[in-house]
Amino acid sequence: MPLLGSRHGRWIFAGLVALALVFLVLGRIEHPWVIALRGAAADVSRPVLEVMAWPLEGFDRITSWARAVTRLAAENVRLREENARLQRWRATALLLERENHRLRTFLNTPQFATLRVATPRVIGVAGGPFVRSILIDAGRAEGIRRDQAVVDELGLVGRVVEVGVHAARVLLVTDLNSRVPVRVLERDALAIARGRNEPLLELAFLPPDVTPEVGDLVVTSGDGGIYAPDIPVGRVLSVGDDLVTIDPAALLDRLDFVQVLERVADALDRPDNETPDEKPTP
Amino acid sequence: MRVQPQSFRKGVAATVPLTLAFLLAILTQIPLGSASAGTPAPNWTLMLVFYFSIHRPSLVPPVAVALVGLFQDFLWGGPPGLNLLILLIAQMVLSDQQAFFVRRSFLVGWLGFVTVAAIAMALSWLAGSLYYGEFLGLRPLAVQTASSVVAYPVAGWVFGRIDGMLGR
Repeated sequence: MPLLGSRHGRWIFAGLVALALVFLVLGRIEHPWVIALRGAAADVSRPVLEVMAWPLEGFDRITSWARAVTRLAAENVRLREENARLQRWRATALLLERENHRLRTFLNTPQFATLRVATPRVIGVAGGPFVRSILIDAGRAEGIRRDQAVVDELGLVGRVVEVGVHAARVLLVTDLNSRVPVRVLERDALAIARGRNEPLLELAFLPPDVTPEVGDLVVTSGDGGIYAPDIPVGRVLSVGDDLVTIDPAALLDRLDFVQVLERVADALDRPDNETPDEKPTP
Repeated sequence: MRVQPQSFRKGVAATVPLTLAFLLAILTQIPLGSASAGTPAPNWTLMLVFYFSIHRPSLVPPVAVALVGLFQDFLWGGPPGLNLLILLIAQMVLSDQQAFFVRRSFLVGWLGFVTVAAIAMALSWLAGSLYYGEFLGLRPLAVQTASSVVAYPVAGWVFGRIDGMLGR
C-alpha cells in the first residue's frame, strides 16, 4: 500500500517531517542535544570504522612497502642529503632557541606554550556534501574537549567541534563554518582565514592598505582563545581583486595521525605555562 | 512457546535492510583517497531506500527510514534532519510509483534512481542554503549525486542478491 495511502500513514509522514524541521532548528541554534547526539553517533561508528580500517591499513602497508622497495637506492641518496641538511638546520635551531631563551629571561617575557592533549588517529571523514570534518579515535576519556585546536606535522587541521567518550569530530579549516584568526607574516597584517567547502581557504577582512603576495606565509594570530599563535595555516596561492586564496599547510587529503592541543584559554589558566618537554635546552 | 523457524527467519530478514542501512551510513566515513579533502561519498542509504522501497517496501517502514536518515545526519555533522527529510521524500515519491517500477527492467529502475537523486540534490541544496543562510556551491552535491548514480547499478545488484537471500 502506498505510504500516504491511509490517514494513519499520512499522520506518520507529517509527524516525521515535523521532527526533521525541529531537528533542523535545533541544529541551527547549536542546541546541546544536537551536539551530544553527534558525539554519541561518533562513538557508535568508531568500532565499526576501526574494524574496517584493518584490511585497508594492511593494503596500504603492502603498497607502501612495494613502492619503497622499488625506489630503495634513490630514496637512500635523497635521505642522506636530507639528513645532512637537517643536521645543519638543527644546529641553527638550537642556537636560536638558546638565544631566544636568554633574551626572554633578560626581558622577563613569559614563555607561552600549549600542551599536547593527545595524538589520535583519523578513523573517519564526513561523507556528506556540506561538511568538511574528520573523526578521531579519542574523546572525553582521553582529555579531548570542544574547541581544542588540531594540527598535523605541517600546520593547522581544524578544531574539535563534537566530543564523544572515545571519539570526536574535528571541523577542518576548509569547512564553510571555519573562521580562523590569522596573521599574514610578511605583511604583519591580521585577517580571517575562511573555509569555503573547497580545497583552498579564503583570506577575508584584510586591512584595505595591505596587499598580500603569492607565497606569503599565513599563521594563526592567537586571537579568539582557541588557536595558539604562530601555527602555520598555509601560504597565499592567488591574489585577485575580490578573492585572496590560501593553500592549506596541513595535508588535509592525507591525514593519518593528528595532534590535539589544549585551548589557549586553558593554557593561560595554568599556573606554570612552561611545558616540561618544551623547555629550551640550556 | 516454540518459535517457528519460518517466523524466526522472517523476523531476522526484516531487520537486514535497515541494519545494512546503518552500516552503510557508517562506511561512508571510511577515509579513502582524497576523501578528507572534501570529496563526498556516494549516498548509499538513498540507494538502499530506493531499492527496497520498490522491491520490499514492508522492510523499510518510514519510521525506521527516518531513524537511518537522522543517524546519518549526526554522523556527517551537517544540518540535522536533512537526510531524514530527503529519505522520507524519496519514499513518498516512490510510494505512488512502486507498482510501476517493480515490473520494469533494471535500466528503467536506474533512470528512476537518477530522477530521485536529482530531486534529492535540489532539495539538499535548497535546505542547506536556507540552513546556512547563503547560497551553497553546487559542486559537492553534484559530485555526490553523480557518484551515487554511477554506483547504483553495482549497489542495486548487491541489494538484489540480498533481497533474493531474504526469501518471501
